[in-house]
Amino acid sequence: MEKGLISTIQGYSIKDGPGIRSTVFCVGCNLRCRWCSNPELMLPGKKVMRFSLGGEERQQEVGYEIESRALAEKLARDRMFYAETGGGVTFSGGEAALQWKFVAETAKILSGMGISSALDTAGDVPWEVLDAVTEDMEYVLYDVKTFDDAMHRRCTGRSNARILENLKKLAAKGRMLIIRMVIVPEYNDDLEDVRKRMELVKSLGACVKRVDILPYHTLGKGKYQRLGIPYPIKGKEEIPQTYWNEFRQLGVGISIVIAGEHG
Amino acid sequence: MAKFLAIYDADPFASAFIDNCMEKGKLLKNGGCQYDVISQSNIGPAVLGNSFAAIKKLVFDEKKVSWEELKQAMEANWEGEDGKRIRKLCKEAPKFGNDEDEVDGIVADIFESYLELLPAYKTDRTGKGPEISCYTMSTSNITSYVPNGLDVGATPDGRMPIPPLNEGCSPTQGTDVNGPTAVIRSVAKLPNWKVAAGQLLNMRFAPGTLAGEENLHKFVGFLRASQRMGIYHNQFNVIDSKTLRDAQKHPEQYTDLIVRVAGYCAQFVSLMPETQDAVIARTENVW
Repeated sequence: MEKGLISTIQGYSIKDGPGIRSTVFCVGCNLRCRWCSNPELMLPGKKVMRFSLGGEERQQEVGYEIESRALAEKLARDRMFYAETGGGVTFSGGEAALQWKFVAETAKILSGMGISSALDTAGDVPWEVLDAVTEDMEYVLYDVKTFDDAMHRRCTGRSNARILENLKKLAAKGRMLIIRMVIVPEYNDDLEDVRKRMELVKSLGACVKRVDILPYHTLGKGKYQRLGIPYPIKGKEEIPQTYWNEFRQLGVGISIVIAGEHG
Repeated sequence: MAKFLAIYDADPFASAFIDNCMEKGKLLKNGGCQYDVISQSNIGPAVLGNSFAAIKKLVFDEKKVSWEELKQAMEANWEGEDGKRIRKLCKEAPKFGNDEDEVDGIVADIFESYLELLPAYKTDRTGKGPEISCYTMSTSNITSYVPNGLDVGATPDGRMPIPPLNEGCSPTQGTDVNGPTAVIRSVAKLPNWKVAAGQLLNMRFAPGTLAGEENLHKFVGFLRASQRMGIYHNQFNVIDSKTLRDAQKHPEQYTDLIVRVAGYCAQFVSLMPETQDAVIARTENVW
């Protein structure tokens, strides 16, 4: 039985795929996105966040080990909610694919219980790993952070060559994809690059079920303080409405959902 | 209560529509009703269950505190070094509403014992007209849990004297920290089908969690799932900014408040103050 390191299980999760889901946050990531809102999940291993609440000094331990079977059973307790809403479990992080044996085994057990899983990934792992970890999953939530490689290196510290290759391979295999694009002012908001990202997504065809645009937010800021790390993003924090107007006129013909907007 | 109702709420108009009142020549609250089944409100079952769970854990299982020490700490309203230490242990003991089988099972036992004892109690009208006159259980106590709390001293679940008891069959305010689905799973373990006069569960949702068609559909699915799990009575509050500000001032009273942050939902009071501010600002924009 595989063991994994996770931080929390978020119940009634409604933004990480279809229906009501439970999102499992896995510890450890191989990218260093400047805008990361879960910095406590970047480095591998357990850690402590310190803060004060209601005038009381507190500390919060991040990370605990759990076996795949125990995790699956815990997640299965919400099966009625998944069943009624077409939901399930989403493995996120951090980069869940780094603990691929554990995640794959948990997804397999869940699949045996009739519970659907999804992987929320940045995709920077060997293709064999990505293929294996998604074997028993229904959806892949895939980040497309930039099209340009140099821009990707600036934003995340690593090339996106393998990421884009893996995305095409997932599509070729017919995996159902939910594309996620976070837009961060002055980092990856270049509209020409966004257009190229959109063209790429369009070329993947019908396996793309949805494209979610996630406006950058500074809500992870406090976690950096708790961890004693300087906040890496400087500059504009708000994306002006005029930007979204231009964004919508890129005209590549794919439908997008911009988070925070409700039609 | 029944004595007062017989005088002040005898209600001749309503009595005219109830079987047997005309025949017997008696009003509703004076024995005219054929099937006179009264809702008997149970108040504070979660406070009681959490208290038993704390005693079981600390006094019996782990032997961290003796019964005498616990009693003294409660009598002193948790004051002093020892009081504070013991109260912390009590607050950390398992609480109803988090899908933890042991404490949820204790609360279920409390319901069962109440249901078992209830038929032995006669109403004021038993034998004075109705064919059947008895009590049936309810947790729809409206706001009684607030004034009832005023008369209850410190309790072994870590509660201070005076604050409200738990509302209806809901978890004690601020003790359910694993989100709404865990609350449903806990309440689903109670003998809900036997609580014939209303089993009231109250939940709070932030407006953002219900915003937009998609989230509304998910919420409907949540209600359907709850219903299939035997929850037939559930009320919701959708929270405004004023409450959120109050939550910042008194976080200890709001640990069950779930808000949508940005792409995820989280426990409001565990967010950093600036995040809380951001959530408040955005909520105001939307609503």
